[in-house]
Amino acid sequence: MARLILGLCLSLWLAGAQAGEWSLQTLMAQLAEVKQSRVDFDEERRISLLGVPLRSSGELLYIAPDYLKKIVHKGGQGSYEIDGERLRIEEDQGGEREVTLDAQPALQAFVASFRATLAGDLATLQRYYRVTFDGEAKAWVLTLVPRDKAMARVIREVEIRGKGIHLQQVTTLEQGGDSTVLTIRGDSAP
Amino acid sequence: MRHKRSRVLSAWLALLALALVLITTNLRLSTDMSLFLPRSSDPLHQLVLNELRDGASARLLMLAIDGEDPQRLAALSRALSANLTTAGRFARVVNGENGLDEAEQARWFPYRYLLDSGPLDFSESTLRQALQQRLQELNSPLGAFTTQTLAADPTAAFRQFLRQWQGERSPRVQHGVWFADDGRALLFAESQAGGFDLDAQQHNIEQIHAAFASLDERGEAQLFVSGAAAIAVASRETIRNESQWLSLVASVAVLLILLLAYRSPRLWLLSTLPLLSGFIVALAITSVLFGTVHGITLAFGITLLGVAIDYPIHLFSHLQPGCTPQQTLARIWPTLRLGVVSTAAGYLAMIATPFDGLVQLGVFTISGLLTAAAVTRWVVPIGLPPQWAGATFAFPVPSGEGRFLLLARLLPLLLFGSSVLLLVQSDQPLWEQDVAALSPVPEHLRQQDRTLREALSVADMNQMLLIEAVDAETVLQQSEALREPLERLRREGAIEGYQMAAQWLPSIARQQARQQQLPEEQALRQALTAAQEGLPFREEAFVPFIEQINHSRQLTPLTPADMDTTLFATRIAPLLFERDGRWWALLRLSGVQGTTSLANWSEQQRIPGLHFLDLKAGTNDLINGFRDAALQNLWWGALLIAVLLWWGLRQIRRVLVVLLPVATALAVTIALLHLLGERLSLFHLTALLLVLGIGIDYSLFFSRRDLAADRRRTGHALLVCAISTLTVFGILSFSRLPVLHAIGLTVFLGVSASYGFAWLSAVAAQPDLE
Repeated sequence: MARLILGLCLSLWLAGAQAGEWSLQTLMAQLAEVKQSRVDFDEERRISLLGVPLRSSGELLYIAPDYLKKIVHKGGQGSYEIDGERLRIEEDQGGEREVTLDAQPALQAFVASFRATLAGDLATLQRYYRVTFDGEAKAWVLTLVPRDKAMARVIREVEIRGKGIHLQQVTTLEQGGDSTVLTIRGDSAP
Repeated sequence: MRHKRSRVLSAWLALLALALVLITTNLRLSTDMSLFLPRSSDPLHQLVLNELRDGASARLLMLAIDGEDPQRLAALSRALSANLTTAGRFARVVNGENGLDEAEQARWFPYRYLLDSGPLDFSESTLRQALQQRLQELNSPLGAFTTQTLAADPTAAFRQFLRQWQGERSPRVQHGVWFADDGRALLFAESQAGGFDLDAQQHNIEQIHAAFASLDERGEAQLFVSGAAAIAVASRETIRNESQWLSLVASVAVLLILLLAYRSPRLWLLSTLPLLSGFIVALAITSVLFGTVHGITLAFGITLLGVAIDYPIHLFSHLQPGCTPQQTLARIWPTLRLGVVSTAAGYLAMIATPFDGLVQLGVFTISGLLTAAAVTRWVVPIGLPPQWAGATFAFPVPSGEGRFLLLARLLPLLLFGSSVLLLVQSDQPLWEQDVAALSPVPEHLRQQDRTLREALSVADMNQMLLIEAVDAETVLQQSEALREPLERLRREGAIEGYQMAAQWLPSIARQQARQQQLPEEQALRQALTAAQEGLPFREEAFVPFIEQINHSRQLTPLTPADMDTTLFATRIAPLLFERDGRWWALLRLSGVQGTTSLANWSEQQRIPGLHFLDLKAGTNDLINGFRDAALQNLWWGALLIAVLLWWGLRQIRRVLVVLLPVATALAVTIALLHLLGERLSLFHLTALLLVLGIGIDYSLFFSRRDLAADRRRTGHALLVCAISTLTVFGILSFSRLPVLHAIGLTVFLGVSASYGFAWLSAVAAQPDLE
């Protein structure tokens, strides 16, 4: 019995220690394990030029390490596909164009905020952003402040909230006061 | 006698001292390669040649980095660019980062409706379409990046302008900087110094390499620098290094030969006096006459002066027991003098060419040769011992008899005939038509340069249109008038593309016309309100746009004077410039099919001051024209030599005995060069002039009417001369420089042939002469 209690205490203590050690590194390591995911999202953009917020919803698809696709179903049809350094935009009128992220450091940094987080690539995140991390496994906040000057002129801060390996909300604050909040509804990692 | 000697000696020393003073006060060594470019009589040609030398395109250095992964290369490109920009020797370093930087974008942004940024249509439907487009962009994940200029520029006119600016021909951008298709990171640096200020350019290139070497993250990466100035610096370096070690080796070889031939350190020292004196006096005269002496004149001049080492050899070999040096000299002087004078006459041909460099070379060589001969005649004998045993071995000159005599008479004729026949019959071109083949820069460097030019879209100016007028406005307007016709040519496939300043900087008239097309405030407000109907934009969202349209109407149009040191100016400057109070627009054409039809086309355009220029063909024509002129000079030189010989020998028959072997040697040499696959250039011609001079010398000495003993001494002298000359030019022929190789090989073959035929001719003529 004493043995059992001792064992219980020990395991509790161990669990406690593990919880305490749950850090940015742990989160990143766990995110890096995720090879593929698909989620639904709702997005709200508040732009001072517009009288009303822009709302849209759709799905997000991620394949490690650098493939990301955003398909908009409601509030403007279209899809945005990022594969490596190529961004392909399909618009609802059937227009299609391609942008090379390399050519535009600001865009590259911006894409990294989301993609490098999903990939658990801390080095890349830290290259583009000053990274602060807060919270615990069940509720964490990652705050990214751009280092790149070109990006800093546009974006003030990106804040990512999550629970465990699941991202829940990405808030982008722009310098002019405009903001975008992307909320993730569900996760279905295959 | 002693008195006279000291007078001669002091005169000689005074002359040398004076020459040295003149050299130190006058001599400026120049490395400006353009001295060796032809002077053109066509002012248009001259303008473009000058532009090529000193213009914006000549100041451009192209840089390529390879040997690492693209990410590392991009970082290196950025670091190098930052490093060089702060160094201050470059007006601008560009590597594709953002194209126009933020400050410059802000500067041109207000002018977006005046500059060429697409049609100025502000109707309701067009505006509505633009707003819908913007809304969609706002909705995209990258929307944040379009909001900044949205309120002031809802039609994205500035983006259109920037797209124009980038052009389809810009290099690919990867990791934010330019890359060539072969995976090298590309940059270009425009120097402050002129393209042909080679010292400054060399310094610039060294600085670029030093800056690159100082980068920590360099790894395995390698830097390659090219461009017109880099090529010029490289060729100077090659010429300098090559001439230095070749002349060192050649000098040592000749001195060894002399030491072997006479086995006397005293003679050995004396033999160098004529050459040294000749060199010093020649340098003094050239620097006084021209002020600036080109490094190449010096290098080639010393080479051509090398003949002067023959003069003391003739004297030494003819010394004999029982005769004072003066007596010996008195015997050979008429022959020696005739040889020197006729050789110098040959070089007169160079003075009559339109190449400044060759004129200098001619003056240098002639004055050097005459001085060397004079020193041999009056100074060297003073240093010789009164009694001298003479040459250490006798060289037999066979006398012609029987079959050998027949052979000696027939062989030259046979070879002369077959050489001429070969040259006439050959289907290979005799002359080098392509000027580029004369470049001292190795082919692989020139290939690299072409590749980089292509990758960076730095046009190699071959075909172009030029428009000339009194002011910038007129040439810009006339350029604009050509846009439509040029577009038509492009559609028809006659040209692949064109570049003109007016593409980026429209004429004042066109900018004003665009201002006129801008809508009145009231009309714009109405159209905008109607266009916004049903879209989520705030009513007052585009007030900045309306304000800016109003402001645009008040702007003073941009002119070349507003460009300063912007990247904009870097693009405009080579295409639009003022020279001597006239303005020129240069329209670059690429992928021209059929230059004659284009020349006709430009005449049909009826635009005053419009010229079509095919620079490559033009330069080749120019060079070929000079070659023909030089050839003609050669005939005059030959005639002059014949007259001089007749004046010296007084018998047509003896003149023929001297001249025939020389002519045969020249014909055989040209035929041999042709068989070896050499295409003749101006440099071969120069070398043939040297052969002519040496050949006459050999012929004159071989055909002297002398006693057998003296003939043996002559044989000795000529053998030493020939061996030393063949050694020097044999060494030159191994040079990698086309110029030195051409001269070396030609003289080597020519002197061998001259010696042989002069000897045969003497043998053949002996019975008649004695």
